[in-house]
Amino acid sequence: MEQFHLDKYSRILLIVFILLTMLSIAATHYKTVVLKDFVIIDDLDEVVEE
Amino acid sequence: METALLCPWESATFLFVSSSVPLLINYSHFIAIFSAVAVSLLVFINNPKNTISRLFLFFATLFTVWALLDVALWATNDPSIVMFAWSIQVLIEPLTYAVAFYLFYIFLYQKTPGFYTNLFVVTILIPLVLLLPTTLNLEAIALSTCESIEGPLAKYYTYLLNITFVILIVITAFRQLKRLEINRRRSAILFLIGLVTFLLSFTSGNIISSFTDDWIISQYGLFGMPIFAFLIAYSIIQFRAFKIEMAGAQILVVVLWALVCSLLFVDSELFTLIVVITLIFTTVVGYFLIKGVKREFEQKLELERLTKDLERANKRLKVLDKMKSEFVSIASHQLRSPLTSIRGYASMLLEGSYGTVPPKAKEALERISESSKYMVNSVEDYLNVSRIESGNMKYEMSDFNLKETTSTVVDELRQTAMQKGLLLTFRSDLTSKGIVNADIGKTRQALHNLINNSLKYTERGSIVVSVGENKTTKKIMVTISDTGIGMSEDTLDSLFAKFSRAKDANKTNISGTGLGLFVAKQMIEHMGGTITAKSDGPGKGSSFTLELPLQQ
Repeated sequence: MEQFHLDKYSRILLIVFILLTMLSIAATHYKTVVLKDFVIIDDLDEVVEE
Repeated sequence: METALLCPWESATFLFVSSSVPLLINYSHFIAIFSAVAVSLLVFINNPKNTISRLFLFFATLFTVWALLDVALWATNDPSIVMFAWSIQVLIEPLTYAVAFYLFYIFLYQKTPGFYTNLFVVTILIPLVLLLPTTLNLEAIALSTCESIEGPLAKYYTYLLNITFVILIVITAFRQLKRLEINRRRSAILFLIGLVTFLLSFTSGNIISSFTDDWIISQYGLFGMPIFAFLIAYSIIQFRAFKIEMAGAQILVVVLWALVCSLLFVDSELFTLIVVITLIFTTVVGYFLIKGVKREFEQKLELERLTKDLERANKRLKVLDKMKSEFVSIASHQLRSPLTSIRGYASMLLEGSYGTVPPKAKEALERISESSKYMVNSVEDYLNVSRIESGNMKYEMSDFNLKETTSTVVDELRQTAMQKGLLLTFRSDLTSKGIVNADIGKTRQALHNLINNSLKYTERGSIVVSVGENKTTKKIMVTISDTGIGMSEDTLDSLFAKFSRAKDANKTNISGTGLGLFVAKQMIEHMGGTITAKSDGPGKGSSFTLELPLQQ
């Protein structure tokens, strides 16, 4: 069956994009799950920094 | 140590299971996931090495991850999980749209987009990737609802990207659709309708939810996925999309099974709604199932009818073939035998076997003899064509000297050449004995036809018959070159066809059936040789070359 190939520069672009995406996901995970660095608005509308 | 704040409901089991998740959520998500996974796996399993199949699977995987994260968002009471899952959803959503664009582009163009298109796609996606962990994406989380407060990236940029990709898909369709052949176009239109329906319903559901903070609305957008999956399945059955051969019933039974299974997730509160949706799906699927079975049954009947017709036609052909053979036999005996008698008696009368013939009667007898000779040759040509076409021509292969055979044929025809005032010469450049393995009678006839053809189309000058060999190809060649009327390119192309004669043959009073060269070429090719013709143009003479493999 047909396989379509990307040109050289597009392939580099794709690899860079995948690496950046993985880094971004890792950073988001670190920030939200590990550091829990985000603003919480509680029931009484008080802003609490965790 | 400060206790982590949690949303005001029970913790989820296995990340997804919680009583706080409305049943509609499970229903909309798992039906959509099942549809996406089933259709993409079906396409992938059928063509695992195909780029479209792989991309389709990737598209379904991205969507599945998004949907699973969404269920987790509804189930969990942990703000950090909500913030993480929500962020990843913001990333995955436009990525799904980008992959959908690539999927459609490759499906339509059968190639990947160029570098500048790829650069554009990456450029518009990069801000999303880079700003994902920042507060431009998610500003905060509201503890009472466990919902993130979306920043401009999630609230505006994501949807802008989604709409851009939908526009790109529509532009791609408009540019390429009209160039496709009818079945591929229909299949592509179904693909386009399914894809755009899903992408738009998905986006509009999310946009409305983003701005109203009512995330139940976004669930209805997910029903675009089963519609898309259904159209893809229909496209596979009807137009062999993705080059998959699949019986419609197979796909439709899987869909029905899934719909019945989905009823397990239903509680009394939503029962009517879910049953109505299931009923609509079942009606549509059932209609196509019945239509498919009916069509297959009709095709079977049509096939049976065609088989019977074919059988009858075959019987009739056998009868015709027998009649043709009988005709050949009748022609050979009933036509040839009296002609031989006419020629024989005319010859005897001319020789004076029945007494002296007056000069005027002699002239008439000569014409009878000539005409009957021509008629015998014509009958022989017709019989040969009949034998060649019916495959009844018998070849008796033996080793013989082609140089000697050619020389004999030239000697036989020299008298005719002299009568026309032409010089017919024979020359040999052979260094070997020139032995070939062929049917000597058929080879003689082919040579006779070729030289006779040159004699017919040459009014003055000479005809040179030369025998040579090609040591590289190990072939012996007989070349007949004349100073005759020559040929144009058009004549050369149709020279060896049946009943083919020179354009002005009738004007120059040249007799012949137009079968001599056809018969010669067919016979020589059957014996492993070739006959080719060359001419520098009208009035510049012609040259015919007969080649046969040299016997080692």
